[in-house]
Amino acid sequence: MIQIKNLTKTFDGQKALDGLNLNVKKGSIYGLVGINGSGKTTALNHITGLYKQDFGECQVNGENSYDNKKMKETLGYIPDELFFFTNYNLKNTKAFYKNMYKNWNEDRYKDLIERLQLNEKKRLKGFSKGMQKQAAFALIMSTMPEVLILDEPIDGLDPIVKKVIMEYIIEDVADRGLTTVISSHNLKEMDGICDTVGIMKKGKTLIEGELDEIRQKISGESEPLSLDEIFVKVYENDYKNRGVEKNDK
Amino acid sequence: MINKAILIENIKRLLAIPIYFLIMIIAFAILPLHTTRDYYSTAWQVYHIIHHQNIFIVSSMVTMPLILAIFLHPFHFDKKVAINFYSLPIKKAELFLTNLATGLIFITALVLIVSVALLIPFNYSIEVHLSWESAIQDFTHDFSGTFLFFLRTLLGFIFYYAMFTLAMSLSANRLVGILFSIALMGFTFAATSFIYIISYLYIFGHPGFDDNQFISAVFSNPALLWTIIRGDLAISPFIIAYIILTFIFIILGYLATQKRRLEQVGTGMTFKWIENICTFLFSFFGAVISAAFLTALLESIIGIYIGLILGFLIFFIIGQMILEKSLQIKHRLKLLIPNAIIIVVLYGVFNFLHIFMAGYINRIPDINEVYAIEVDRNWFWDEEIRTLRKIRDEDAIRLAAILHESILESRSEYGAIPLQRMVGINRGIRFELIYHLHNGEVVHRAYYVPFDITHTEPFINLFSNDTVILRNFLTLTGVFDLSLVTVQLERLTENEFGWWNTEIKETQNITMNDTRLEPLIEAAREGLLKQTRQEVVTAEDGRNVLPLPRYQITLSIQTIENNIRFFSGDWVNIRIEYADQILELLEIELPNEAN
Repeated sequence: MIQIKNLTKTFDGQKALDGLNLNVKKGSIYGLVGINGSGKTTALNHITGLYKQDFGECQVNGENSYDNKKMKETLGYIPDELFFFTNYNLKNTKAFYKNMYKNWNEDRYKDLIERLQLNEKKRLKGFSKGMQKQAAFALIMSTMPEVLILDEPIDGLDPIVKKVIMEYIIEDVADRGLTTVISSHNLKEMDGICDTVGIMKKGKTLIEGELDEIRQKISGESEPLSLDEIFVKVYENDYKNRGVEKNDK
Repeated sequence: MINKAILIENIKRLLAIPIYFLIMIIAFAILPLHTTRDYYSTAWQVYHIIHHQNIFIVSSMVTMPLILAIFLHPFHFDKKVAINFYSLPIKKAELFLTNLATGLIFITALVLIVSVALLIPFNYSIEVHLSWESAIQDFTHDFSGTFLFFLRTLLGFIFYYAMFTLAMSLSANRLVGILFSIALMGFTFAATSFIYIISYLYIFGHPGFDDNQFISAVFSNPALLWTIIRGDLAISPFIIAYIILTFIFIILGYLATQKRRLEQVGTGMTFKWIENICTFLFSFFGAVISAAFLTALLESIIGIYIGLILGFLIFFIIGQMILEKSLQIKHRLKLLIPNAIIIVVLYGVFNFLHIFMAGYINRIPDINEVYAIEVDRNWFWDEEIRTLRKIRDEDAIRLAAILHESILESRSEYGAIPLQRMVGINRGIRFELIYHLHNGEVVHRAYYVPFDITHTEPFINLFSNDTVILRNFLTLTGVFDLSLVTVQLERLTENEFGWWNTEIKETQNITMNDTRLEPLIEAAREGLLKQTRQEVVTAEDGRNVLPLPRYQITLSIQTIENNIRFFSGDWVNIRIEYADQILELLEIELPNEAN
């Protein structure tokens, strides 16, 4: 579904992505994790077709993602920082999205704003960050995306809303085969949702695969580790390996 | 190619902008036409609007496209907006064209409504006094005139909209976008000035165009209309140039949008090489301004060099701060090195041109090849008048060549420093001489010379020549059919504050049929020649002030030429000591005090 091969991107002489490889299967919930500055958002911006790579490939559904209208029609992206038109409320914004996306689902939209208890007439810029995220989620999910990209989606959400959102995603994965990529710092939350993970460091994937397999591999004979613990282990191993490499040289 | 959803959203979101400008234009340009009761005033206002001299329409032509360009492209300046916009299912090209279409719809609607509103006060007709030659032209407000107004105004708005769209496509933050838009507006000014200065100083001795064309080219860009109205009602080369430029701006804007990268949003400019060119030009502009200022302050050539270095440094630092949006620009100071290298290379090129090309400036054509000359042609706009002012007298041509030679011989004594002229500190007279050769060649020269040249023999000889004197009084040379001469006798005195008092003593009108007309013109010519010769010899700093009280005769002469009435023709001022014959013809006896 999403294939990234040897992706490289440089900003002002600094490599943000350094030969990144990712493979997201259709219908999976993929957790992209890494410390700050590891290149998660840059990777997501390539998948959504916003950034043009310096080298390598980034394909969604077999098509190059950069500036690809057809691909973006089936892709929903909720970035970390949201933007809404000044003075627009949810109703105005809905009208805009309805015109923009061919697969707009009005019933789903109504259902979502009811479950999330969103006020359609209030100015979106007057919403809290968490409420804005909910509004964006309602809008994006109503476009019936095949691929959903979420950058730090859980920040600022209360537990009840988190539950509603996650239920919706899991339902869509089961019913329609929605492919989801979630990037987050909150590894505990990710642990319960993701079936696949990719751990990034300095623009590269340190490890990638199904979460259970990785858990088994890293935990070995001992008690299964949490995603948090796996993350720390993978980073520690990488640090050690680098030290060995340096000594070898 | 155009995204309907974005187009509708743009229109809903930004409709307030054209509505605001429409209200402003209606309130301050159209409504006064209906509230003014006086026919002449209304007609005059209509004339101003149709000829793009109404300040509200002119300023809207620049400000509305600028505001539209800023608000239609928020995704060029803010990363958050850019990420949200570009993640929508739309291609970059589609977004560019949709925004372009939005602007064009707003602009066309506004100009159309204003033009239709202009048709309501219909069919006003007035005589318009044009400047310089004071000719009168009839103006009638009709449908075809209004239609042309619509087309030209539309072109003006679209031209600026395309220009600002390009500026926004090349800018990565709002402030830089606005500054770059203003800079692009001044581009014609800068380019024309540059060509003018370089060609003037180094290549031809005079630019390929004259000062009036230069002034109109310079001032036409911010208010484009001047070139549009000047092109008569037919399509002028200026209009074609603006249409071509509009397309070029749109194409470049499109390409820039395609090429720009999202990661550049929020920085200075989208492309590093444009950023470098702009900071160089900005610094160079600052250097010239500062050189002019310091030179005037210190009144010394050292001011130029100190000013150039200081100005360049200061403007370079300011430019970098604007681009970085920070006071911390230490890391950018290394860019001063390539900038300094470019300046040194340019200086070298200019000096090369000066040394190897300056010889052309000194060329004086063989007078046998010359059939006519012109002096101070620059003051006259009308080509017909310029032709009539050509001096064909062989003696005058010979004297002009002698004066030209004397100027070149003594040129090194006064201000051969190009930079001094570049920053405008030269003080003196601008002497212009044009030779028309039998082979069709025109040799055009202009020099700045000090005031004391007026005391030299070659200058006195040339400007005492009858044909040279009469070039300024065409009505006395018989080239026009005279219709009326108004003769006025004035007494000039000085009051207790040292100001002049003018008291009209006598006024007579002499018409075409009057037998006194011809002798009167003859007497005026004789008096004027005697007087002017005397003035040329005694002139101080180009002026000749005679003691008061004194009498003066003024002949205001009307002529008819090609159905255009020159209502003022020439004013010929003749002081009383050279006007005996005129007084006799008019049967006027002067009071004793004048004698």
